Amino acid sequence: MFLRATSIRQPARRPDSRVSVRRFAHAASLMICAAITTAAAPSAFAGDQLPPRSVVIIGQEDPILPWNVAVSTVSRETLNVGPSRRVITYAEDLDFTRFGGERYKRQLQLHFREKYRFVPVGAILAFGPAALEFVLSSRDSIWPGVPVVFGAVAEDTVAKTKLPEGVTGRTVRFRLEDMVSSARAVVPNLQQLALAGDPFERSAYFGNFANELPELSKSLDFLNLTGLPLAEVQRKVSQLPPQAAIAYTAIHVDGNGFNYFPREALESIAQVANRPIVIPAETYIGYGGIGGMVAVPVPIAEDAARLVLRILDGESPANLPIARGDYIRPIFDWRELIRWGVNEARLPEGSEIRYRQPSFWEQYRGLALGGAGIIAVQATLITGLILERRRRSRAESEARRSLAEVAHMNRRAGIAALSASIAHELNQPLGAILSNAEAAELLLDRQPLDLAVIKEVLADIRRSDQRAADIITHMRDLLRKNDSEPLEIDLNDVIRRVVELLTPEARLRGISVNTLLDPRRLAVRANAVHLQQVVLNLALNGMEAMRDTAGGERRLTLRTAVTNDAHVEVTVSDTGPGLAPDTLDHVFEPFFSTKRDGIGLGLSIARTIIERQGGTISAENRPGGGATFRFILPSLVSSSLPQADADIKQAPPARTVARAPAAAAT
Amino acid sequence: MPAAPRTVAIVDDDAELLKGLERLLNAHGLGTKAFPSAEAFLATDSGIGIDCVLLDVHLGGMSGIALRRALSAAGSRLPVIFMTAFDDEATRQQAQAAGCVAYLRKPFPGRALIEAIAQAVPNS
Repeated sequence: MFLRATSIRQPARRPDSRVSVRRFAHAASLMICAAITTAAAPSAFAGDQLPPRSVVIIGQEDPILPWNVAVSTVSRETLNVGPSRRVITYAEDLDFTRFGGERYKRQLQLHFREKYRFVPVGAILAFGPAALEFVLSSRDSIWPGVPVVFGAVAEDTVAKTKLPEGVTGRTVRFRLEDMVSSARAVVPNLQQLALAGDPFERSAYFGNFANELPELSKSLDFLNLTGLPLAEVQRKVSQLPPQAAIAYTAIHVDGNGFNYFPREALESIAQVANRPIVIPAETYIGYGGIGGMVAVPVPIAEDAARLVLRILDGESPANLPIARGDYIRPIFDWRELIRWGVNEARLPEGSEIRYRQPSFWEQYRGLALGGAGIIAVQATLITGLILERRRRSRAESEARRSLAEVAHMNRRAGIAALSASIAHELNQPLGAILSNAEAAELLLDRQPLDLAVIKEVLADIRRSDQRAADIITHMRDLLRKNDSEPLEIDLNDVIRRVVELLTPEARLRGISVNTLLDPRRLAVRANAVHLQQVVLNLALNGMEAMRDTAGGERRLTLRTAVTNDAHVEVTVSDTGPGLAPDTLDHVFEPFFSTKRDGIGLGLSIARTIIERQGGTISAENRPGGGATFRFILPSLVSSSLPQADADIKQAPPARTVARAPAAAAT
Repeated sequence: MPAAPRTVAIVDDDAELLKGLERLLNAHGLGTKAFPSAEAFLATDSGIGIDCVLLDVHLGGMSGIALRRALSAAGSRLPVIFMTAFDDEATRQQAQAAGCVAYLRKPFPGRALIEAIAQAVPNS
């Protein structure tokens, strides 16, 4: 006992003693202390000492059976859930369904005794009645005094077993009655229930079914197929009457002695069965059983593992009474319900339906929602794009409008600069008119009347009047808002108009205006007023540049020329100081101005207009001083093209040619 | 004694006005010589056979004021009548400073011109 106790204690304290001598000494004193207490008390873990946090989990079947996998996995996980110290687990699966007998058990006991000789164990967790029985009969020789927690043991089994101290657990109640009620739920007016499985007397869980049979047989005809060879079972279940069902418990070994995984046997039966199969365990669902009141392994494992944890944390098993767990749940396989035409309303309240084939909406909800989402996003995007397009279009039209506004303001400013000189310029034709009129009056008093001269004078009066009117009209044209569509115009006319408006101002400023116009008609497609504005801006700019020219010649030269077949150009040159080299690239930028009182829009507007007409504008310094501004526009190559069109229209041959083959065919 | 017809030189860069003024003065029995620019006036043997100069202030190129100063500098005593379409105080002062018998704002009635000529050429 003393040795046993120390051998248990020592490895448990190893983590604490591995670092320093002092700790080891401390651990050694604990060991002695523990040994003394152990010797004084019958329990291995009496006193203040907590049991080692290691657990042996013992299952009674093949470890790879789904039920066992579930129980083993969940119990291990539960043992290590939460903040408490880690629990070491060992798993032993006894495979009692395929191996058995006293000899096998003795060998297991010997094996475990050696295996766990130096392994501290805080608790044994046994799943299933056979596992519990083995543990109870072996504990004293292998794990004396170690608490035992059981799970998945039938209530009846526990009731019949004399449990020693230190054993607790949770029971489960498998009842044939539950399977009958499940069968009644899936088969209305149930007449017969076929029982398939291991013989009840050999069955670990369903032994009590035999006890229930007499009472239940009073209201139901049972066809007992337990213990038969699987093939025989298959044959029988394929020929059941209409108001029948099958209750499958578990076949581990059939009547011919063949071993099966119970689930495989279930599948074999389900393949040929002509009636639905109710089942007792959740782990069978999905293998051909329709479902029923089934035992669920997860809570079984969880509950048992929690009991173990309480013990490891210091609670006495004596204070943890045995109780029945709530492990039987109504669970059904939707596919089987459909196959057998079972009305879900007949199922027990709270039934869980597995493998439900979702409706289109359920199945494709994600896809549908995704699709709808995509459509919505697309619609939003499209709407957004349309709105954006409209917004942009509005912005563009606004920009056009504001450009038009700015251009108009610019023209007005230009005219304003010239207005004084233009107004006075009108006095020239008015003066000519007045002089001519007075002269005519005098001529009328003379005898003989020289009517030819008088006629000539009147013609001159009319011409002067026309000139005055033209000045006003041209000025008014520039003052008007003008966004008319581009028309074919002569570039030379543009220059003439501007020069006419410009000359009075130039004369006032002592600037001579030279115009060198290409003698040909320079046809371009443009808005005439806008082009006049460009020329006016360039000319005003040049005149402004010559404002401070002290002495020297002040000359503004406007020239038109054909640059090549496709382009015509206008240059406006001055004899001012020229442009500073670093400003050449910026003169056309908005608000760039070298003038003290300039706002720097004239050249910017000029560029905007020229570029809008498909042209280019540039500035350079003249070799002899002064600056030259040049714009180039695409030229309309003569007016001969419309003429050519007319010729084609007049020519009827096309129709004649088209008709010719038809004539040949007839 | 009928005096020889006075001849007025007219300098203006506006051809229409030049023609109208010539007609008017001719109709009043005055001789005229028309010049489209100050330079053109100076290029001829100016002063010969001319009694008076009707001179526009704002000529393209050499201005009327400049021509007046040039004439004065050359010792010419030709009376000058300034006329202008662009009347402002600065122009008027320049004209008066340069020396003139009259300052006419276009358009002016023939009577004002004749009176100015009469003033410039007393025995016309």
